[in-house]
Amino acid sequence: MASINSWLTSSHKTRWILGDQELEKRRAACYEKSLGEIERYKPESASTSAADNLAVAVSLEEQKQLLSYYEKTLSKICSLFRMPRKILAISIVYLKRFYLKFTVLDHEPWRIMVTCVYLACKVENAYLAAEELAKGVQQDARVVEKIVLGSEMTLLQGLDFDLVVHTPYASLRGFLYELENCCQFEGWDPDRAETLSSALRKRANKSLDALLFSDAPLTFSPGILAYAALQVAAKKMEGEDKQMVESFFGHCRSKAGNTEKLAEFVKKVHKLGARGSASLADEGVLKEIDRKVKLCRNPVYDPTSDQYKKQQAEKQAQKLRAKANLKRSAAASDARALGLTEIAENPDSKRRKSSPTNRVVAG
Amino acid sequence: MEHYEKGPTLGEGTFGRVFAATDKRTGRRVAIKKIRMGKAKEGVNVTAIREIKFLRELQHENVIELIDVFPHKRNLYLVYEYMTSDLEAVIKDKANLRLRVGDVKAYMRAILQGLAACHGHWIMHRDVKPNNILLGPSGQVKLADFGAGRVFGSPNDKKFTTQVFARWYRAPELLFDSQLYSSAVDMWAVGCVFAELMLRRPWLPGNNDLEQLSLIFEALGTPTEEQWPGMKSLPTASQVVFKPIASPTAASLRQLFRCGADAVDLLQQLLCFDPSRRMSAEQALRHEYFGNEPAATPWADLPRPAVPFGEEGSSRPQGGAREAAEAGAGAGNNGHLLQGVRRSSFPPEGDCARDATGVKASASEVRMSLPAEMKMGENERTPVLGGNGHRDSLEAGERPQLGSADKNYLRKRKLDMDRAFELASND
Ligand SMILES: Nc1ncnc2c1ncn2[C@@H]1O[C@H](COP(=O)(O)OP(=O)(O)OP(=O)(O)O)[C@@H](O)[C@H]1O
Ligand SMILES: [Mg+2]
Repeated sequence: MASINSWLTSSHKTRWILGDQELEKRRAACYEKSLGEIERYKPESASTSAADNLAVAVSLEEQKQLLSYYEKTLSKICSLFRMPRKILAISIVYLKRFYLKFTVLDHEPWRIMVTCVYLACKVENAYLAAEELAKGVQQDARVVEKIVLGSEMTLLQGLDFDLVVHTPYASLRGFLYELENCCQFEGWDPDRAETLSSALRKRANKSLDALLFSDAPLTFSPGILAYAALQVAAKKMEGEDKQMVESFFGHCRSKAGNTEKLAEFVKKVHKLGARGSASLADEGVLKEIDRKVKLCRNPVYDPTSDQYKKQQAEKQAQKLRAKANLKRSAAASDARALGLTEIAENPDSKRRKSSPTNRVVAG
Repeated sequence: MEHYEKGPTLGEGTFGRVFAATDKRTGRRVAIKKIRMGKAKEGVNVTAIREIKFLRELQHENVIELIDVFPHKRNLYLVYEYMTSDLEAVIKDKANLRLRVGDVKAYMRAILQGLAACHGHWIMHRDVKPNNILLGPSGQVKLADFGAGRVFGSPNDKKFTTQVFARWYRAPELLFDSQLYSSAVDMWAVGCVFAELMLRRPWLPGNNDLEQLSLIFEALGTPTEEQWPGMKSLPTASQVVFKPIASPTAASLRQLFRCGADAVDLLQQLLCFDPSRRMSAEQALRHEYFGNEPAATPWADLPRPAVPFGEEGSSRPQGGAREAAEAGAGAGNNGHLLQGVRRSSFPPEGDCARDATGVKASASEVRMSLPAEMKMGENERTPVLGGNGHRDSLEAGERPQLGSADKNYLRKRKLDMDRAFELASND
């Protein structure tokens, strides 16, 4: 029986491994959309300040810097709670995926970041109450609870409800296990094999950590990331260790089929790794960006904005209209059933239907 | 909601109502589960999160399709393909439905294929029972209800909750409180469903965990050290001494189930005490039972219950409470099992309290569902603030002690990754 390969049909592989151009395209499209909405829904009272508003809107590049900052913050939170690497990796990927659907102009990154940790814990059966989480982010428990519970649904939607993330740490373990087997096959004693593998693991984990902070988790499969990280880790090896690792890589390459493509991928991953370990923008710069985010938000998603309230009212009105229509068509079919071919609109019901609509929109 | 035309209510679950609906865009009939937003403090219900998490990964003809998920006014809606009934209804409708050997075979094959898909994704279902096996409008058979599901097989796994499955389908290792178990627990439940399909009533309807064990041993013999080497070391296995009972002969089982030798062999392998030797779903599908005559009935020809979901009226008893009463296996029926001393309370902790209420409930309650304790706190301890920070903790988690099952897992995981690797590099 053909063994079922969970990776190939996974949501991760089928929906969330994207080319770098695709990533940029999606981000740019969201950004355009946000700007469009800010422009369209600027408060009528102050048309000039809206223009100013747009001028201070965070740029795409600034968004990138800000999100990098929040990824690092996220990792600090995870370390504070001594969470397993896996949860850190998943929360970061959630954050990255979310901002392929929305921009920081739509949803404040701080809120989303905290919610990512909360959701990742829940998904991984390591439930952490919002109240506990609050201690980690040094905020009032009630505030954090409100933010997290308020954003959870938004986050789920941003993720398209795809919650399973395969992390490269698991793949790395697999590779190392295989390497140990290779060693034993060559007659090494198990302790020696284990020493080698654990030395590699420590270094490779560091590379994987760095890769987390780049676009790598969105562009490459965890298997490739682990392989690339292992290559970096192997560079420091010498003598027999080096030989062993080299021959293991040869074995991996022979399985990979297209070795040129593989080499090209690994090169790309290494570049991404360098980017992931690059230091953050200046604190001053980040503060400025953060300030800008607060100044200019997309009112469509801002519950405090007039536009948001207006939209809610419109939705409400639409629903009432739909209900009224339903009633009308029901009345019509009743009438038909009674043999009345032409339904005289009941002026009374019509008034009932239209008035609430008007009232709500005006309000 | 604007895309769906709401229809009648189909059923009521623990977490909300399920109603029929039509997708206005496609005209497709669907079933929509409305999930109430639970206690405000825990946000989106964990069971719903699990169901979504797993069903988004599984696309298989024997696994229910989750078509869409959307929030609407503080509720979460899960849209499923529309199903008309479940296996429990089929089993119970003795008055109208005859189940032929080929029919049972078809149900079994479908269930096993669905589970093989889950296990191939390293997902345990953990709530296999007849009413979670749904039947489609043209006879399709699909696993549903993944709210108790869980990923297994990682070397980092520490503890799973044993409060899973309805009791009658709970594997012996769970009854002995083993916290590191695997997909074999699903296979035990499949064995119970198989027996139930042939008997047309639950085979082992225990009223509490202890009675459940005694029913199992009475039916299948008390496991010897040889049959189940690890048993003695399970947390609660030493607390009770069970009277030795010989394993039943194949002939006696054939008589009980009025079935062929191949069916009995499959049943025995699914209900193997030692979880490490219990048959896997993949293996079961290769069992000669499925190759032998009569062939499995094509699903379009499978019997259908006369009364579809939502039309049962309120009187249909669900979950086997009736059988429990019928079987007369009242709580006082344990006389045969406790030969030795009961060394301490069994099972330990608050379990007794649960069982006490469980007994009461089984008489009056309409269905068996997951134990209430099956909650989210499972496995990892809730992380506590403090400690030396990131590096340390991660380092600590780095060198898991591998058991042989773990190694097997790693190897398989790696193979998965190899394929991924291959494909990615050939893209
Ligand atoms: N896809 C579906 N098509 C038609 N009816 C369904 C579907 N899914 C569920 N139902 C109906 O809704 C009922 C409730 O389903 P749900 O899975 O929420 O709860 P349950 O499994 O009955 O209970 P529990 O949550 O305790 O396991 C089912 O018993 C069934 O009657
Ligand atoms: Mg159910």
